[in-house]
Amino acid sequence: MSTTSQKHRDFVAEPMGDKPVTALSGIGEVLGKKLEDQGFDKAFVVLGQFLLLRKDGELFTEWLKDTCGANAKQAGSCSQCLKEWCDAFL
Amino acid sequence: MSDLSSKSVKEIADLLDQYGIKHGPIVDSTRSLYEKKLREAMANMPGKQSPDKTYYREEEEEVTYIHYHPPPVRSEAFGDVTRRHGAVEQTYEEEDTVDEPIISQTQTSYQNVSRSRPSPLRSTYETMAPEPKKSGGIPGWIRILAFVSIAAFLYFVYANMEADEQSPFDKIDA
Repeated sequence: MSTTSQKHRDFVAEPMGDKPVTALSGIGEVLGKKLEDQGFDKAFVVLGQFLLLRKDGELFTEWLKDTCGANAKQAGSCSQCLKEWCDAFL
Repeated sequence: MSDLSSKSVKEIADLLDQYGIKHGPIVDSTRSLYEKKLREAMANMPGKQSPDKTYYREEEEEVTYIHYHPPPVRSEAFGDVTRRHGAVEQTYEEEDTVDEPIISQTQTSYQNVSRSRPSPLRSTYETMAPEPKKSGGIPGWIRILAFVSIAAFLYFVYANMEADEQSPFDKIDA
């Protein structure tokens, strides 16, 4: 059993709908604010970016680190969260 | 060359492919990421771009050059290829000088290489074709005789099988 957080499990359990970007695993208040400043105010917009990068976890992690200053753990967590969501719902 | 931000989308995509970087569409939100990756790749392997291009160009020149020339020139051209490909091409070169020259000229080096592959097969076919004429000491007429006798035998068997219903060979008993 992987060590996923409750936040991760909650996000992956259902369609994301209009959830805010802070609902993503690994994205807290600080990172969420930075993403919103760049126009990524909803989780589905970040999903859009993930899809543009062809669902490549490494590319997305790198992008997230560059865009909002996430560290490797946070970016990896968000990437994994989106990947599993896509596997379930896309 | 390092002014990536002024390059077109296609150029960025080509550069990414050259460095083997998997990528998605290059749009506003992804462009800066890809430019950054390209800068890192170019810092690691600056000269990667040009040698490939010259390689392909020379291959193309050789292909069009080869088409209308007799084998001796071709082997020389192949010699250039050999230097690049290594020892593998040696066998193709030897085989090709024996065979007929190449068929079409179309295109890239890879097609040329793939064409040279069937020619060893062709040469084996050609060498095999004349062989049955005299291999094993069986004259042709004996083979024909054997074939005819077997065919007659099979027809005889078939005719006998048909005897139950209506044989054309028996007299009609009314």
